[in-house]
Amino acid sequence: MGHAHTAAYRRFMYAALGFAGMLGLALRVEALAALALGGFALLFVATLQARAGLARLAVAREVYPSAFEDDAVSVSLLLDNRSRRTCWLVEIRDSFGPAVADRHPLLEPGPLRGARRRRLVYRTACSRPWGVYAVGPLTLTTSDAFGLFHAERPVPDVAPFAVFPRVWPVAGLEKLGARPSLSPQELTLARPGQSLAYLGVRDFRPGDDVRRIHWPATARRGAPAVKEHEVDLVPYFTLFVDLDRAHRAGTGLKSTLEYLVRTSACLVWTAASRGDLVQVLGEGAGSLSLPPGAGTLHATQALYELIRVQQEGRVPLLDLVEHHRTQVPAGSTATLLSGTMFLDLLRLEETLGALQSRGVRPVVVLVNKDSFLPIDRRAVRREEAAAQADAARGLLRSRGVAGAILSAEQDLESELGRADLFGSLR
Amino acid sequence: MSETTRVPDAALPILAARSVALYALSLHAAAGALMAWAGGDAWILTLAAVALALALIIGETLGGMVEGGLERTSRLRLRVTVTAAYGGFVILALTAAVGAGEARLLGQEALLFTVLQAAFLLLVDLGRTRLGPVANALVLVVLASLRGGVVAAVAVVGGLALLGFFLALDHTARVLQAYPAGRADLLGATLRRAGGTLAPIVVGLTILFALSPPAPLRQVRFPAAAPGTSDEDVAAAYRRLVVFALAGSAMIFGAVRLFRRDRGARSPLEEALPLERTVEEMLPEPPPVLHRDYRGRRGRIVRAYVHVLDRARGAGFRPRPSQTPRDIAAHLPAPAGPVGALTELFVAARYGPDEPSEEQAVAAERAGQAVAAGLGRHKRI
Repeated sequence: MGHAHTAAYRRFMYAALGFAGMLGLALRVEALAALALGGFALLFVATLQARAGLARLAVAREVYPSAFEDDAVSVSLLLDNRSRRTCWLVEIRDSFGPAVADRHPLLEPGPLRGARRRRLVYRTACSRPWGVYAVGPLTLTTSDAFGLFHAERPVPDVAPFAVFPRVWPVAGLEKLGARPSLSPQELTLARPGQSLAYLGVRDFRPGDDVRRIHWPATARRGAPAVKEHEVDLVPYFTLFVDLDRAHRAGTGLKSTLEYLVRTSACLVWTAASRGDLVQVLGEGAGSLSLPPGAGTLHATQALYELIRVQQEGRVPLLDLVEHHRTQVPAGSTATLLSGTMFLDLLRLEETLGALQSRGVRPVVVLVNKDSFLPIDRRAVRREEAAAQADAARGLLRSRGVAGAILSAEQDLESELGRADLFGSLR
Repeated sequence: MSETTRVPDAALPILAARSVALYALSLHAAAGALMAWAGGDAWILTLAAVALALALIIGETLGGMVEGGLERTSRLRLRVTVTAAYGGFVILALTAAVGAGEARLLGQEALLFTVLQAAFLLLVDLGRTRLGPVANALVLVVLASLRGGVVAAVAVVGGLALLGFFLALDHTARVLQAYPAGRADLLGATLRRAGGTLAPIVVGLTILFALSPPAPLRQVRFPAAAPGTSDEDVAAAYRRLVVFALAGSAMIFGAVRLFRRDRGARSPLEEALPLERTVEEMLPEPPPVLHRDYRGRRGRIVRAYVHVLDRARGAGFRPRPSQTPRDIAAHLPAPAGPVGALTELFVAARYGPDEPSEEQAVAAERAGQAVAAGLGRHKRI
């Protein structure tokens, strides 16, 4: 255990009392024999106390299963004393994977009376980078009154805990795609809904909102009439993530995977925050397919899927877009997040043309993998990379497509926060 | 390695009380040995009480400086050397005393070990435990018990009781020091718990000594001219001892509370965090256990499985209602072999169409016993 526990006294008492007992018997000194007898009785009672103290104790953890990097997390432990005795000095050890420290020793000094429960709350922080970590197991430790014997019991309460990458608002995204709902806009369908675009007038039906009564028409007809409005086209955001293993480069915080996941998380969170329907598609070690949805819960699900991706796919980004093109509705925004600048520009032009012809607004974000530390293949020469970047910029500019190129030397947070991020190529 | 420089609030009175208990143990053991073999004159007891108190105050307040100046390996080497030398010396001294059977030699040894006790108290803060003064006090108790009579009886009973109180306070202090400061009024509770455990032992020993007063070591030869110690002398000596102990304890309690500084340390892999504690609440009544009437071999297998689940709940395992038997088996903290076998037999018996065989029922019961034995096994540290 830790600094608090020692077996030195117990060992010493075994040795010293054994020696005193033998000396007492050999020399026929009753006081010495009685000293040994009393000492061993003390050890025996202490053993029973230590075991009994743990027998009817139970502990369980309550914690919200996800948080962002650097977030403070409150972990609640429910300590139940199901015995009739009062508990003192109960030590609990918990493992919280996302924290720097491997173990968190905690002390409930007591008293915790019999048939009682106490909630203990400790606060820690998600100090490790994004990923899925384990929380638990818990360990309960009690001792006898003299600290001679310690009983320990592991409680197999292990649960996953998701740490999401810290998200920053992508300022450039505000200027793109569908606008917030409930504002007059062209993107509507001609059927009854709740938008502010006026559709017509019809007879009042039970259940209609009285605020929608069209008073002039009601006066003309002599019967109540209500205004009808068109339905909004919900803003729609699609993200295609490139998880091709050929585009792996760099390590740790400076790697293409890190940039892809963080950029994806920021794009998804920003889009979801402004009310878009968001869907994410990718092909890594497994298929990343998040169906369209809105709201914080959906964005959280998207982050959960993103932190589990691995850059182990074999499907090129443009193939992925082609395969799922039909899932991108007209009038929406589709972002292509590539792990490399070296896309086939002819195919990219075709893909962008196909999307634009369907009324989809494409956005292209290229991560310059050659700016990261090469892992399994050589980085291309700097001049070649610059030429490719120029060619990509030219293509996007010519088609009027918003885009950005992200490199290892850039600070991702400040880069994504730039208001002219997607306008820089134009 | 993090170093706490502030004495935790809750630990402060416990630390002071621990020092008092150690002082009381030291003084009691030294006085017992001195009264047994050195006459127990008032001036000797006074000197012993003052010397032990001063040594402990200096040791508790300045002892950390000595430790701070030594490296870990040097401390270990020093501890091993001192332990070996001291152990050898104790065995030699006791062998010589018993072999020679000279009361004068035993008196000199009592004096020598009293001086050693003061030295151990001076170095009390050196090392993780306070084993040195405790061990030396026990040697003094052994010396006193060789004398027999009231002195031996009081030395043994008092020594054991004070040792118990010291260990209890030491344990509480160590645990509190290992965690961040918090509110916990544990002094009274610690003394009550220790007292409750020690009371039957102390009462038992007292009755034993009252019924059968301990005899002295037969081999000891007393000088013919030596005056015998009367009961009044012994009673007066113990009265003085109580006064010295009270005065010394008050001095030590105040000094330790004023000057004592904590030097707790923890592994870098561990981070002790402060806890927010809510008020305790009543546990909800557990739902009544419905004992279904399982019959035949199918019933025996189901009973074996249900018994294992009951034991697992008792050990803190909480299966969720959504978990299947195989999910439960995967998470059960017990040997995988018997758990797997029992689960398969249970699933076949509970949900299968065929009546299990006698061999399967016996196998399930054996596996159940093996799993139950492996569950909730406490690990001693």
